[in-house]
Amino acid sequence: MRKIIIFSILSIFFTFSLYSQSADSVTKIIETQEVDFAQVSYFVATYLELLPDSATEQQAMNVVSLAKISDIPENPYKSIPYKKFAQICMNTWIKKGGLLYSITKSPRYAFKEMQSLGLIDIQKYPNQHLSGKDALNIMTRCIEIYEEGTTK
Amino acid sequence: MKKLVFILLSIIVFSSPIFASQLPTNLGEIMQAPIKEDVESSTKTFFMDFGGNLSSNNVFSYAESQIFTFDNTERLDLWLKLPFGKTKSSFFAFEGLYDFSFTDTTDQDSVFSNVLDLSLLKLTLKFSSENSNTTMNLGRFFFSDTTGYIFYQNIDGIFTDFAFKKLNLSFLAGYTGLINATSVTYFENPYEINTGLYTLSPSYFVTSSRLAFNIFNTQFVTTEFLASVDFGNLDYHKMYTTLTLNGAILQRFFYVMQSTLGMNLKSDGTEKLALSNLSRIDFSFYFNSLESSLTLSGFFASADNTGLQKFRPVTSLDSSIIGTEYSSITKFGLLYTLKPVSSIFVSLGSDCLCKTNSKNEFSFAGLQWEVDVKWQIVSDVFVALQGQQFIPFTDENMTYFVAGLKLGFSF
Repeated sequence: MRKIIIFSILSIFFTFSLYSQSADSVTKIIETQEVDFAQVSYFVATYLELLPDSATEQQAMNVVSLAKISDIPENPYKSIPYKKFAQICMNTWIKKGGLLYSITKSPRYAFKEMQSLGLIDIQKYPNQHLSGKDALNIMTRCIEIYEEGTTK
Repeated sequence: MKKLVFILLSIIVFSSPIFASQLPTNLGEIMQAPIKEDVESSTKTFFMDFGGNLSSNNVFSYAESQIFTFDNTERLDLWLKLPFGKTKSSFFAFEGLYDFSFTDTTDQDSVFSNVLDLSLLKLTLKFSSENSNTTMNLGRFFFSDTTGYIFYQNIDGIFTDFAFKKLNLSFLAGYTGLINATSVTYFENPYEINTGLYTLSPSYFVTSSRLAFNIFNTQFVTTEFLASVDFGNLDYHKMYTTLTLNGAILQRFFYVMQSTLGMNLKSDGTEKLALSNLSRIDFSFYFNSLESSLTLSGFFASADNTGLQKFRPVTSLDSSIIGTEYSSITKFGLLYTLKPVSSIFVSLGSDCLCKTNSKNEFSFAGLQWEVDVKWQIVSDVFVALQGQQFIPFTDENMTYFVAGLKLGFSF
């Protein structure tokens, strides 16, 4: 009986430790003043179920790179600009863009595309850094529109 | 204890296959991403945005007297925006254009023109406090009066807007003499405009004071005093006082009521002060389906025989395709807009135009219809088609037909 209780407690502890990391990561992103590539990669990789929530940011970055969503920048823990973030969103959710984006696939035209779709504020600049809260809001809108087919 | 270790290992072994299928197969490449180190926040990055538009506009027009006209305009716009300050809300903006146009008419020689213009060159400063937001524009920028029919063009000067919770206050002081005259038409100004890359405009000093506030719920009142002082001694000194009421009648039903008292004084002092009026009423209904809307509008601009004098705006704008300005006219219009699919915008409109005839009496001049279709093929490429016709009611006007094709590309 004692072993069964220990087994149950350990199982619950193990399961919770797997899922609590996702919530922690979201909380961490929300509190971030300037979001970095590693944080965005983690959100994308776990959302697309390319990795479990227990994965590390290093694993997430590699998976995002392998899935051809984005190359890993020189310093992935340095805050990313809107244009790089837009490129990740375009490759993850939106896929198709305007004429210049289709030809160049460049971060600048990914940014322009997302501005024209109303997903990025028209007052923002391509090299401006974004907060974790803004990044999550934009990614949530992308999921709503391009995966769930809802427009709010 | 051995059994406990065995149980734990079993959990790990049986749990891992849940995620194993989702892990990338090329595990050799995993763990190559750098490990997190202390990174400095990169707030010192130089922000800038730039872009441009290329457009080609081709218009074919036909007048009853067998005159065919073809207009082609090729235009390049370039813009640059440089933000500064901690919040990046203040910025410097530049916009320049090159315009090549060609007109071919059956009864005249072809006309070519090249225009180089600086349409925007401004410094925008924004200050925010707990109760208000202040915006200041310095330089060259676009300005429209409350009606959009009196002054509607670029100007060099200073514009300040103070936005409070339920009140908005704005001021303008500017000069038109440095604007490129080829991009603006002034109402009945005898100033001779030379053709060239850049020709200076007639000189007016323009000032405006505007107060807008919320009376209750969704009802708003706007008052404006606008004055233009003619430095060239060719035209009139003009003053306008406008009162605007606008708001919602029902949830999707809106109205705008406007009336302007115009006061003109000939700048060389040869005429007495003349009073005139411009009034407008619009009712708009927004439907649930197809993002469509229906607008019913009525417009009046006084003429010399209406108990008032002729209404004289500063900027000359066309109220119809036959080139009638917003002066000495009465117009009733119906406009329906819709988006049958998200990338296509359609506008269908019809206007009944009354204007003064040769005896200076108001009479029905004719009926005008127009259809505009814009297809945004992708976010940076569009094609637009337009069709317009004027059907005259009197012999003083002739049938006029316009068909156009416009292509646009932004980069």
